[in-house]
Amino acid sequence: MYVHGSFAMLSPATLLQAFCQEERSVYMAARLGPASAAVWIWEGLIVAATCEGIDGPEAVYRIVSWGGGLFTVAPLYASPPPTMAATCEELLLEAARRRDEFGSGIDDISMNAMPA
Amino acid sequence: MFINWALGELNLKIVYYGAALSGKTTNLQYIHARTPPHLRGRLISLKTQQERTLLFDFLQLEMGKVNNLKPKFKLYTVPGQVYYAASRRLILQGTDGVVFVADSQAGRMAENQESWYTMEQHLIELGHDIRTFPIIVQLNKRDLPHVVSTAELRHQLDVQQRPCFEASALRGNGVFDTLKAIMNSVVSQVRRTI
Repeated sequence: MYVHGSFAMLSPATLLQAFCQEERSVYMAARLGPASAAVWIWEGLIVAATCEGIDGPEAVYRIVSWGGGLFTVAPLYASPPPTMAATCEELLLEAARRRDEFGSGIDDISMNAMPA
Repeated sequence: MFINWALGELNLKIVYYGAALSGKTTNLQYIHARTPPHLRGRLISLKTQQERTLLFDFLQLEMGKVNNLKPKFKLYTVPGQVYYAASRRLILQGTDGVVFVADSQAGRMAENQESWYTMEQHLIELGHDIRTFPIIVQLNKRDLPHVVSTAELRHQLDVQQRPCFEASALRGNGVFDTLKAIMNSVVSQVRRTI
């Protein structure tokens, strides 16, 4: 059981928030041209991420800046070795803060709704 | 508003908005500290210039269910400094109600007015009708000397008929009165629209 789609239709931030909100356990793989990324969500927490050779929270900040690309989401049946543990909100807020303070190259954090 | 079918919860979002150092963070810290641990989530804190941005969620059992869903409130503060525009816009998206925290001290009126104006602009940009959108005004720091009268604050901010609460968030006065008012206002609005 997989979900495939395009970030042009559903932004990375919206996608991650949806799975985190419902406290799902999933693995998301994504590609944007030659760049690749992956995020592991376990029971609603982001427990690992990698993007363009970067790991951890920095990888999530990079992914949410992607303006396009394709993704595949699959269920996770066992917890991966966690390299981080963060809620989606705190990662998105930190990405927004960096953009406000440094214009850190995060040009387009998805401005879809932060979850209620 | 987000309906979480898996958990049977109605997630509602309340944002504490206001100028830098007006007392938004103090409000949330007070509420979090006095909410039973089994009903609240972790207090998440992000360090921004001058102050911190906070968020946490909690279940409100006393309010009863809304269409058989348990209301769960998520409270956010926004960073008050002018240059955190993207962060404020991000946080305001999807919000169900706003508490505007005004600093009552003489000399802070310009910051209050600027913050009020940006709040209205953001809400309008997000498609809300600010005449009906739930907004509660908290006139904070009433315990300090040299504060502007409540009538003058109401006039200067043009709050019109919106409910206003006097408060001293540092001492806890008025904090839960404000919170209850915004929760009731948000739930009433949700009940009208579903």
